[in-house]
Amino acid sequence: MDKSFGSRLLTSRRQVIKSIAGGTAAALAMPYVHRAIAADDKIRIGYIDQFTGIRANFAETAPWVIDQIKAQLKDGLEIGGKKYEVEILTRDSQSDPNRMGSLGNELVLRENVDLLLVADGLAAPALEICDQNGTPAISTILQWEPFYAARGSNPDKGYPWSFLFFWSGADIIKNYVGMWGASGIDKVVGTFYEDNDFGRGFSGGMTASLKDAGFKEVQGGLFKEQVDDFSNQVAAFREGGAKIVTGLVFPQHFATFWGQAQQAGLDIEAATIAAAFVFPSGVEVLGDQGAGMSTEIWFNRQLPFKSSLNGQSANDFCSAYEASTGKQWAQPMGYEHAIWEVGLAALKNSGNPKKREAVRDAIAGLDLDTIIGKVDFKNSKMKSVANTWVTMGQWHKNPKGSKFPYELYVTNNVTAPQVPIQKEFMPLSKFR
Amino acid sequence: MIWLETIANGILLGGLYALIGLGLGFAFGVMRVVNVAQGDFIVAAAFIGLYLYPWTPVHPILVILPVALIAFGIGILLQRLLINRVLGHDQIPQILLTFGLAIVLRNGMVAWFGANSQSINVGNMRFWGFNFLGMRLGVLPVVVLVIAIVLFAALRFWLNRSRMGRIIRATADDHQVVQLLGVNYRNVYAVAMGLALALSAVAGVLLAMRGSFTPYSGADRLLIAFEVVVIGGLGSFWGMFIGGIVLGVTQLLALKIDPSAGLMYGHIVFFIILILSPQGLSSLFSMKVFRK
Repeated sequence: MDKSFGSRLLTSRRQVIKSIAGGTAAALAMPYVHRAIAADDKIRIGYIDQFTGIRANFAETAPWVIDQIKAQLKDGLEIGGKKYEVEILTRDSQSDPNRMGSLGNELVLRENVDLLLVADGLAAPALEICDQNGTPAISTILQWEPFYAARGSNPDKGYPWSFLFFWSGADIIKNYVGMWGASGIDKVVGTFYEDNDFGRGFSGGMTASLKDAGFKEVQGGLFKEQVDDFSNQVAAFREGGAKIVTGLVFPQHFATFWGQAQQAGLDIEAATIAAAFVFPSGVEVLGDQGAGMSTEIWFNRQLPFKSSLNGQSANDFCSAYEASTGKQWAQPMGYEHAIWEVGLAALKNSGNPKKREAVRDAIAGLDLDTIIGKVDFKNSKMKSVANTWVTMGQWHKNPKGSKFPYELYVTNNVTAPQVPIQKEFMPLSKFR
Repeated sequence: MIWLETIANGILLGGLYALIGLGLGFAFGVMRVVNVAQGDFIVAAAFIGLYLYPWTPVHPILVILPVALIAFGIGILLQRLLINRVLGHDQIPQILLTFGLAIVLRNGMVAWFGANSQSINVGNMRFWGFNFLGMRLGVLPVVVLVIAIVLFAALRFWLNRSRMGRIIRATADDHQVVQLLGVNYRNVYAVAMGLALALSAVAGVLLAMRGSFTPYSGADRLLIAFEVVVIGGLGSFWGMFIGGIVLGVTQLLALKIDPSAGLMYGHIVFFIILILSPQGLSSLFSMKVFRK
């Protein structure tokens, strides 16, 4: 008490006046103690996510995750025998890269955060500011190929201050092709993609991989976001005899495509789509026809992993979310939690969270078991990046009377044998 | 054959586009009001439809009736409470007003309903198809086209034959002279805006059945509506219908040749028509209803 009273006298003029006015005894009894910790005892962490805008569904779960973390940190964080208060500064990128840059400026230069966390696919502008100003930064929900490419780096060079943990675009294509190969479905694949960076990248990699694996590709090409008719793609796939459709397609586009495909009598055995089926809403928009849709999985509730922060298993974590929000769990929440696990572990390991170099070295030396599995910067062959697993899964209808209509299960683990298979992959005709 | 199928699909899509343009064109033809919030009203109607269709008896597609009624009411309120206040020789205030309304509506919908894409489930009808002259067409797009034709014809007939229709046409011609005849043109405007929004609402709900929508879809819808109206000729009825068809067919033919073209060729056709015939296609037919 004495010490904190003293520091309050030194740090806050307003509180001094208040104490004098209220009398010393009253001031001592007032609950000011926490606020009185000096700046040296306070860790400031910036967190940027896409809470609104076109990609807002990725961050729908994030506010709940942050509340959970805040509750956990309300008594502060003990590092090297010293208690630190933790302040979290949350910012919304609005899915806009320009705003991402100005938020990076604000948090790094003005707010002077000790650590920046970015769970946004367009993290590059903010990460660049961290690299220029020597602020440690951790990002996720961004594949490592664009993480390097965006700012002209490579796995040998890395970045001085910014880090990433996520899976790779090359792995996801291996998983897609591996799953179809194992399914026994005719090797004719119809492809169509959103005309954006991710779609173009995915398209190039997929075409090469399909060729190598002996698949025939029926190309539906890239399409623009405003398009609301897919009869041409449907006709091309029908002419080409496609049994599998794939691509990077947003939910609203896939719903339109699927309606027209059914009208035209296109006979499909597997629909494996990136983006559209990551979230339950993308499947629910198909009504009764959502069962059997397949996509990549990077987090789900049946995984055998648990949080290093609060010991919750993946299943408990998802259940807690569903109980408190009434909404179904979604894949990004695992990474939105894991980024805090990684960040707080690095702060702890640093010995002194106010020392930037120590925090940076702690991130680079981290090998942590998180709710999404192992995040290993220490033994990673790539500088600044910890590669995580990605695998394949399929949506199944929940039994009647369940709270949510569909649930996602792991069906293949081509590049991630450590992830247990939960259900066998089935062609779409088995779901009808 | 596959080309014929593409053209047929373009006509089916064009029917919906025409309907999207109809509300905007009607409001402009009668009141010279450019409703910039039209696209967002279309999306709002789709949300209303989304919440009403589980309670719709007989078949979910009938949800267009209650939604149109609600939109009619909203249109009357909108005109009476807001747009009538800023009417005058200067068109800028009402454009700014509806522009502001569009922003409020869009962000309100994001806040209330979230950014997820939604779709109105018309049951299995969405997935039905049939063979026609060797082509394979969808049932729902044909139903949408039929609804569009019926609405165009009904509106035309009503404007030509009913008393209210005559009053609306007279008000469109000269809203000051009709006041000499005892018509309160502000009330007429309110009815016209109600109708315009009701037509948009039907388009919005049908669009949500055919594909899907997000709170952000409004801007694209507005662009289509503008192009339909301008291609067709301002204030012309069947011109607008043909404008929609032209846009739909162009878009699908272009997408067949160049899948990544998006709506670009539709915009190019719009641009060419605007240069060759600034009055729109209707000046070729001179079938105007509202103005000389």
